[in-house]
Amino acid sequence: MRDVHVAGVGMIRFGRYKDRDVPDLGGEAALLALDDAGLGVRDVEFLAAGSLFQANAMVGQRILQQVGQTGIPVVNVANACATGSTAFREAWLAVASGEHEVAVAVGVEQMGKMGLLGGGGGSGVRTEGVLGSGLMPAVFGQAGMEHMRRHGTTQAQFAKVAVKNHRHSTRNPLSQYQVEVSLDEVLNARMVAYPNTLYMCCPTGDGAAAAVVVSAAKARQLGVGVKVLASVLTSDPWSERDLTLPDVNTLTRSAAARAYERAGVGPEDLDLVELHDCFATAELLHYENLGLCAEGEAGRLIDTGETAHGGRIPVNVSGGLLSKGHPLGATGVANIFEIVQHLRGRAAARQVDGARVGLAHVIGLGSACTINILGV
Amino acid sequence: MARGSFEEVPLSRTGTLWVYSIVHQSSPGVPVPYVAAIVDLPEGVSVRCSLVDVAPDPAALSFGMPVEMTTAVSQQDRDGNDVVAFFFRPAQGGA
Repeated sequence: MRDVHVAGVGMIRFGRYKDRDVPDLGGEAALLALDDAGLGVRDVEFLAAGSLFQANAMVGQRILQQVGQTGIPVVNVANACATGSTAFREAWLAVASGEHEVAVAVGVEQMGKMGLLGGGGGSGVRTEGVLGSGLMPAVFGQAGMEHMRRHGTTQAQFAKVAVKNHRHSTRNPLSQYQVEVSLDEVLNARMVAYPNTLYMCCPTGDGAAAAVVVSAAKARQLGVGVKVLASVLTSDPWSERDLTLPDVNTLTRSAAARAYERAGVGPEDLDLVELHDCFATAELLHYENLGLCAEGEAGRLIDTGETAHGGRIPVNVSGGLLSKGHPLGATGVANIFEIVQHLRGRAAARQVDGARVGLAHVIGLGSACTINILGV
Repeated sequence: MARGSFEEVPLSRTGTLWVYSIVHQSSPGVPVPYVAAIVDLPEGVSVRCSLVDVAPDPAALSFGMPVEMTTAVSQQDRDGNDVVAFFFRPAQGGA
C-alpha cells in the first residue's frame, strides 16, 4: 500500500432540505471538496458514494449526473452508520492500491423525521416492546447500563457528554443544532430510553460531506495534503451476548488496536478525536475503547473536562452526532472533514490549536467500525 | 466445522437481569413505557425480552435481580389470532 493524502474536503450544513434530493446534496459536497483541492471533476478517477436509505438507488452515478458524467468507476456503499466512512476507505484503497491517483468519497443522506423508527414488520406481528427493544435508543441505553453496572457510572456523567457536545456545536456553523443546554436541562428533558434523554440522542436530518484523496505525488503537485496514517474497518466477532445486545465495544477496540499499529501512533499522540456519539452513553464507552483513558475511567474523564475544547484530548469539537447531526451516510465523511479542517488550521472559532494528529471513529450496528487516523 | 448438528439444551425459566433500558419513545403503535431487558440464564444463554409486572422506574430495577419467565398474549395478528409471547418478571419464588 502506498501513502494517501486528503487533498480537499467539503460539507454542507446538516439540517433539513425538503426541497432538494440526495444526488443534489451529494453533488454539492463533492464540488466543495474538489474546489477545496483545486481539482475539477475531470481529474477524478474513482468515486465511492455512501448513502444508506438509498443504498439501492445508484447514488454515486446520480451524483456524477449532477457534477460531470465522465465514465469513471463508481461504487455505492452501504454499511449502516459507518456507510460514509466505509466509502472513504474505498476511495483510500483505490489510491493506496496504486490503481488511481485521485478518488472522491461522498457521504449523503436524507432521513426525514422518522429516522429508524419507521418501517415495521412484514408479518403483521410486532416484536418491538414484546421482545424488549431493537431500537437504537434502547440498545445504546442498555450498552450504557453495562458501563454503569461494571463501573458505577452515573446518568449525570452520561448527561455531561450532551452538555459538552451541544456547547461545542455553538462554534460550528455547519452543525444542525447550535444551542447550549445545561446539565439540568439535559437531565430533565423528555426521556427517550433510560438513561438517555432527548438531548442525549442524536437528531435525524439531511446532509452531505465529501473528501478528495490523492497519491503522495499528486499531493506534492497540488501543494496540499493531510496524510491518511491508517484506515481500518472491522466487523463484530461472534459472542453469545452479541445476539441479544450488540457489542459496540469489541469491534471498536480491535479497530483501534489495528489503526494505532498501522499509524505508528498511540492515543497519547492524538490532538483531537471525532467519535461516534450517536447517544451520550456511547461516547463514554468509546473513551475506553479508543484508549483515551484507562478501563472504567470514562466517567472520571468527562468529569475532569479533559475531553472538552481546550482540554487534554478534545472529543467531538464539531458538536458530535448529538448536536452537529447524524444523517447516516454523511456522518463518516463529515468526521473526516472535521479532522482535516483542524489539521490544516482552518477550523476557525473551534480550532484545536496546533493539531497534528486526529482520529475519526464511526460505528454502525450490524456491525461495522471504521477508524481513520490522519496527520500532518 | 462448516456444518454440524445441534444439541437440544433445556433452558431454565429463571435467570438474572443483566441490563435494561426504559423505553419512553417507540415506533408508532407500540405502547410505552416498557422495560427492555437482557436476561441471563444459568445455561450461559442471553435473552432479549421485555420485563413485565414491574414499575418502569430505575428505582424498581436492579442489576442481577432474579427474574422468571412468564407468557402472555402480546397482540392479535392480522387474522385476529392471539400471539402468545414470553416475558420475564421479577421472580416470585418457587422456581
